[in-house]
Amino acid sequence: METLLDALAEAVRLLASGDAETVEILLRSLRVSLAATAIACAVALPAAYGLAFGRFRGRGLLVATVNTGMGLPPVVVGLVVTVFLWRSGPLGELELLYTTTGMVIAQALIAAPLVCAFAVAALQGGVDPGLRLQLRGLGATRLRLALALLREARLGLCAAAMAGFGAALSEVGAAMMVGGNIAGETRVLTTGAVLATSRGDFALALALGLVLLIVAFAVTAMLTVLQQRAAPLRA
Amino acid sequence: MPARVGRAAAALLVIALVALAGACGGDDEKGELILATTTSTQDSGLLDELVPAFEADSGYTVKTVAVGTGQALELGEKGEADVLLVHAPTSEDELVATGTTGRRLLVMHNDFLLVGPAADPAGVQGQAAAAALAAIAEAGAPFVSRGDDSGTHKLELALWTQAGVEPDGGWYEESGQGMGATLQIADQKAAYTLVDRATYLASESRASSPILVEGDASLLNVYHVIEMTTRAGDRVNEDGARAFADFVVSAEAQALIGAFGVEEFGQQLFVPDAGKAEGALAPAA
Amino acid sequence: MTAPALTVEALRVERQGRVTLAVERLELPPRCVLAVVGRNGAGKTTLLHALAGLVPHDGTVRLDGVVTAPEARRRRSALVLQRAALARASVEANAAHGLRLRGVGRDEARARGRAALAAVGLEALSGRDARTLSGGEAQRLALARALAVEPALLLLDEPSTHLDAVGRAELREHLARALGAGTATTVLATHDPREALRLATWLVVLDGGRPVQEGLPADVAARPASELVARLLEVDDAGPGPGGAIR
Repeated sequence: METLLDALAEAVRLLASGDAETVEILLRSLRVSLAATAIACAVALPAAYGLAFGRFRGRGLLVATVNTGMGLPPVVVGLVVTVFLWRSGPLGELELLYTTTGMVIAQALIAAPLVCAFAVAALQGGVDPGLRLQLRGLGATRLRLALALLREARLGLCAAAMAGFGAALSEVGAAMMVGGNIAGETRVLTTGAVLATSRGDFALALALGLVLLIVAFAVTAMLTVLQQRAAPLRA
Repeated sequence: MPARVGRAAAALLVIALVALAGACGGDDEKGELILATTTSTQDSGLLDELVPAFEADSGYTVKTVAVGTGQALELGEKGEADVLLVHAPTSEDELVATGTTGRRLLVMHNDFLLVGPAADPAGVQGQAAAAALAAIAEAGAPFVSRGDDSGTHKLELALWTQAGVEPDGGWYEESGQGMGATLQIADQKAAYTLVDRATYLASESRASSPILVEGDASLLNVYHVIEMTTRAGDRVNEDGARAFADFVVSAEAQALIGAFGVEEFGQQLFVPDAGKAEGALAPAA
Repeated sequence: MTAPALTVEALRVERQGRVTLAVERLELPPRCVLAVVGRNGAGKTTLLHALAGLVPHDGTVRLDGVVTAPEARRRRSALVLQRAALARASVEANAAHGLRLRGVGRDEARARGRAALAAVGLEALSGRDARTLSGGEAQRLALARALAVEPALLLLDEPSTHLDAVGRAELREHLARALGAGTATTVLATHDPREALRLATWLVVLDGGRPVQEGLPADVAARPASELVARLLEVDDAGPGPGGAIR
């Protein structure tokens, strides 16, 4: 209990005093995870559209695969990405290991299946089944049709993006493996908390965890406000 | 309403893209160097002084990757790291035997302490290290090991071998964690454990888990710097490795090492040993 | 002589081996309102979807005498489904939606949408969320959305099927005004003989995907070619009197 109270006090102190190191890793966490989520959305949303409305052989299997991807352990993703980014690996030339760019890639891979799976569900469940035919019947081009349907499902798509962001921000396995938790370069809130734990500084670890929750809440709250504004008015 | 949503979404997207731009990049000037070391070395805080000094002198940018001893040596062998700073002599010899290394230089040492409950149920106070462990096993007194194949763990296992005991039973626990966490666990459970001086001095468990055995020659923890070469991997930065090794055994670095911790803890945490013969080492005063 | 606005030649639609629509020939002059009558499953919806270019078919369709491929027909026609499918947005936005989907600018689309809303008597509700509308209002909004597009070919699929008698009567009047004012050629699938007689300038009866009678609505009602046609148009069983009596 004492540790928890210590942690709370420490978290408040770190944030209120604008502790330089904490602010630095906080901003890095945000930058990396936001970038990863943006990439994940850019890839996953078009894919989700194809999966939701396409009719092709193996579609169901593909959807099942994407759904399974939600359960990928981040540390496994991190390991695979690391193997690719090793100097001896196929992408070693890019020198992305132990960089934030590498971390963005790994986190995007973790977030993408989540965003895609939720987006498919949002498109299939949240869009009037007759609407697609109707909009085509009004002469919509393929692109405009896609945009209109994505717009129609925006509540669920917002949730999908939030899910992806939450996963990226809170994961530690991939950030640790691909980033290396290097002070001043690739340390983020989660890996910083792990380091503090291994040093036995549990109060700091919990404090960083609390900072992470606050950050996650701030971003998610913004998106939720947007989402709820787009929600239907009461009849 | 849709317009506002659209604009807000666009704003978020712009933020994300700017974040992406910021997250990428960061180019090297003279060159980058990957230093693989152990978590306990990093936790001691010594590298926070040594590495910036090296970077300022040489112009290299050092990426310090702190992992377990086994992983550090593995990274070196695969050429994924350029230079190693480790403290597991037997395993280091194996690495050197692969022929992929450059120089292996003695840098410094610190020592381990056997700490435990003030009540000292096994009566180990003042004994030699191996004898103390034998006493602990005999009494079945609780002991917490790191159990993670780290340099610390390997030293501990060597001591058990010396004591002629196979640690087994409910009294022997393996935390699988870093030094600081392991010490905290031992402190909470009023158990014995082996801890390096630097971690011990920095921790808050000093009052409740006093030092019971120290100064024994077998408790020495010896650090070497090992250069990797392109025989380990094409992209190994041999020049950088050489520069770092040279720095670490230089007078400047050795002075930094010797002064480290004195002001804060009133005693040396590491004893600089560059240039000495491998066999002749004395524990910190 | 001006080319017919719509010409259908050897139109055939097959689904899972069955022929669901087979129309040998159909010609409509400009501004014609064609009522298509038939039992459920007779092929009315299939005909509309085929004309709209939404289902694959054999045969050719000409607009103004020119053979027009399905892709092009989609751009020149506007279809209104049986059940109004509206977007999660305001009534105003929905009315403009058809135009926006075709790349028309926001302001112009909004203006034309508002005009269409006025034509169907919904302008008072323009700020409301579209999903709070009643069935009749939603159907009128769907109609406004299609009218705003000002298509060459307007295709209405049983617009009053889900409405009560009062709603049907109201929609009938709105349609009469809108179709009278417009320049489109209209194909209207309907169950309601009153609607057919009030609005149409030509009538086709479908059975099993094939036309079984065709002509001026009053003529077909006066001289139904079969019991089926009579039933569909609710003509007195005791035989047609002069002028055709509708029950």
